Amino acid sequence: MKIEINNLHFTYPTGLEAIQGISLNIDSGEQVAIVGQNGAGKTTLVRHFNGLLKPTSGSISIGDWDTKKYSVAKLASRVGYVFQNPDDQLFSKSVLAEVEYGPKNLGYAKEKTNKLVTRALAWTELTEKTETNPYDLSPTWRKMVALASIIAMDTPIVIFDEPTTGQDFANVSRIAHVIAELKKEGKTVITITHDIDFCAENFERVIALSNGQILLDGKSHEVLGQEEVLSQTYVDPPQLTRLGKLLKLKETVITQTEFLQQIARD
Amino acid sequence: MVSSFAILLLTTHPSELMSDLTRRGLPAQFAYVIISTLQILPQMQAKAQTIIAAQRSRGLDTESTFIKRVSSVVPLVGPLVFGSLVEVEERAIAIEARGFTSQKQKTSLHEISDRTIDKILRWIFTLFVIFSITLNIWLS
Amino acid sequence: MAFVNIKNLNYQYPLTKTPALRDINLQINQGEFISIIGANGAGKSTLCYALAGFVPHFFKGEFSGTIEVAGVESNKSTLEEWVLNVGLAFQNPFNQISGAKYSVFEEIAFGLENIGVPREQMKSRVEEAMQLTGISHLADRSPYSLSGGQQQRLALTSILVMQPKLLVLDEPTSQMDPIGTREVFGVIHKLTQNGMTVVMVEHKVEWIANFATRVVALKDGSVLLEGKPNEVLTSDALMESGFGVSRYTSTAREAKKQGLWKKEKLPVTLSEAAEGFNSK
Repeated sequence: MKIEINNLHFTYPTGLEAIQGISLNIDSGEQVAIVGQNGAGKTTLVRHFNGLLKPTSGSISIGDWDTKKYSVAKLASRVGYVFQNPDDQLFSKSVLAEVEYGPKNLGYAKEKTNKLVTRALAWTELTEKTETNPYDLSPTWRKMVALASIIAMDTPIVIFDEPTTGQDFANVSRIAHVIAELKKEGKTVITITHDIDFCAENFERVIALSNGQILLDGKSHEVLGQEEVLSQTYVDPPQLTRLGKLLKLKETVITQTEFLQQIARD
Repeated sequence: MVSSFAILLLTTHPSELMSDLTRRGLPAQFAYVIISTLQILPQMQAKAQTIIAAQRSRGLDTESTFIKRVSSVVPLVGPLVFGSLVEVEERAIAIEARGFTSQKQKTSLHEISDRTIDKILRWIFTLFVIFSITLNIWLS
Repeated sequence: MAFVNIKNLNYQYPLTKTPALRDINLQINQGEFISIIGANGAGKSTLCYALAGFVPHFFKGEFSGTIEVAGVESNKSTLEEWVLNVGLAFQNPFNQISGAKYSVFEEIAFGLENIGVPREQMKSRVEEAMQLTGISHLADRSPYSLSGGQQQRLALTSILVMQPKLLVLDEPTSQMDPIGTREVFGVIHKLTQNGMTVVMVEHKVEWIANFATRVVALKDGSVLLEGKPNEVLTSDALMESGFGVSRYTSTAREAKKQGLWKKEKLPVTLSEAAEGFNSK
C-alpha cells in the first residue's frame, strides 16, 4: 500500500513548526529508516501516517485514503504503530489477551485472529509465555509483547518508533528478525531510529530529516556515506562506513559482508 | 475554596512554601507529597495523552458510542497506573539517594523572610476570616 | 585493602524463584573506572543497587555476603548513612528529578537541604558541581524544560554535589539520543580525570573501551569475565554469552577466519581497527 505525502506542513498549537514542507512517496513493501536529531520532526511526521496528527496544510494518503477523512481507529487497519515505551500500551492480564486486543478491535473473525496471533507470538519468541502477565516480564520482553500486539493486526504498513533504544543485543536481533519476516510478507516497514548500525543492516532506504525538512532521501549506501551532510542533523555514519573511509576503500560500505568483500578485493 | 488555592499557588513560590511549612513543623514527607504532586500532574497529563495515542493506534475507538467509550477505560487507565507505580519506585530511590530520609535537621536554600509587615498582615487576614465567618452565620 | 570490597555476595529479590546475584567477589581500588556489562537479566542493575545500599535496605529479600566501601560494611550501616558514601544515578533522567523543586539550582540543592548543609556552603557547593558537569547556564531553568541529556547531567550533578566516595551509574545513556550520549559521556570523562572511583553499567562498547580501567562481564548473576577492556571485549566467551560486541570486533573476527586480519589481538575501537587492517 502506497504512502503519498504532498507538501506537508504541521504546526503545533504552541506555534512550533515541526514539519515544513515535506513531499515523498513510499512504495508498497519498502523498508525505510527515518533518522535525524531530536526535534528534527521524525515522530511528528510518522504520527501523520496513522492520523494521530492531521496536516496543517498539504496532504497525506495511505492507499486511497486521505488521512484527513479517516479516524485513527479506522486507519489502524492499514497502519500499525509500535510506540517507543511498551508500558504506554500494555494493560491485559495475559500476553495472549494483549496480543489479541488489536485484531479484535479491527473486527477480524475468530479464526483469522487466532492465526495472526499465533504467528505474531512465534516471530517474537513469546509462544511459551502466552499465559504470563505482561507486567511480570522484564522490560525487554514487554517490548516484544508490544511488537507482537501490533504485528498481529496484520496491517500492510508497520511503524516502529525507536525500537532498539535500551534493548540488549539479543532483543535487537529479535527485532531485526521481525522486520525481516515483515519484509518477506511484502509489508512496508518504517522505523524511526538513532541506532545507525541497526539502520544500515536492516533498511534499504534512509530518510534524514533536519528542522522539519528532508535533508537526504535515498538508498542506504548513498545516504549513510554522506558524513558531512549527515552531521548537520547529528547523525554519524555506521561504524564500518567510518572504517571504510579511514581505509580509503573505493566504495561506501555499510555492512560487514560488503566490507569484507572490498577488503579482500583491494 | 478552589480559587483561594489557586491564589495561593500563583502568589507563593511552592518551594518556599514547602521550606516554610517544614520549618513550622510539617513533616518533610508530607510537604514533599503536596509539592511534587503539583509538578507531576502536568507530566501525568502528557503521559495520558501518549497512552491514548498508543491505544487509538491499536484500533481503540474513543470517539463513538457511550458503551465503546466506557469499555475503553481499562486500556487507558491500566498503563497509567502501572507506569506511575514504576515511576514512584524509581523516584523514591532517587530522592533516598539524596538523603531524603536523613534524620539530620534539614536546612533550606531560601531564606524565608518574615518581616513585621508579614506578621501584621497575617493577623489582619485571620481576623478578616473570623469576621466573615461570624457575619455569615449571623446573617443566615 | 581495596577501596571497594565485595565478598561472596548472593542476593534474591522477594517473591522471586531465582537468585539475581550469585557468589560475586570483586575488589575495586580508589580511582578505578569499572564498567559492568552483560545481557538483560544478568544482574547488572541489582549489583548497582547492592553497591548503593538499596539491596537489601530498600528491596529487602535474601542477602548474604558483604560489601565494604572505604572500610565500612553496608550491612552494618543504615541506608541514610550509606547514601552519603555511594552516589547512584540510573537510566531514566526524568524519574530522578525530585519534583519538589522549580529550578535546576534548587533541584541540585535538594540533597544538601536534606542532610542539613548550612546555607552559606550550599550555594558554593551547587555552583561547583554545576561547573563540573557544564550546566551552570541552566541554573534558573525548570528541570522539566530540559532535554534528556541535560536532565541526565542534572541527575549526575545532584548526586555529585553530595560528594560521594564512589559513584554508581546504571546505564546513564541508554535512553539518550547521540547528542545526549555525548554530553553525558563528556561529564563522565571529566570525572575519571578527576580521580573519581566509578562503577558504570553500559552497553556502548566503544565508549567503554575508551574510559574503563577494567571491565566486568556478568552472566546469570555471576561474574563471567573480568579484565582489561580490550581482553574482555574481544573475548570469544563474551560473544558466545550473547553480548553485543562492537562491529569492529565482530568484523575483524570474521576477517581473521578469512585470513584478512593478521594481528593476534582483535580491535574494539575505530582506530584499532583501522590500524590493524592497514598493516596487513
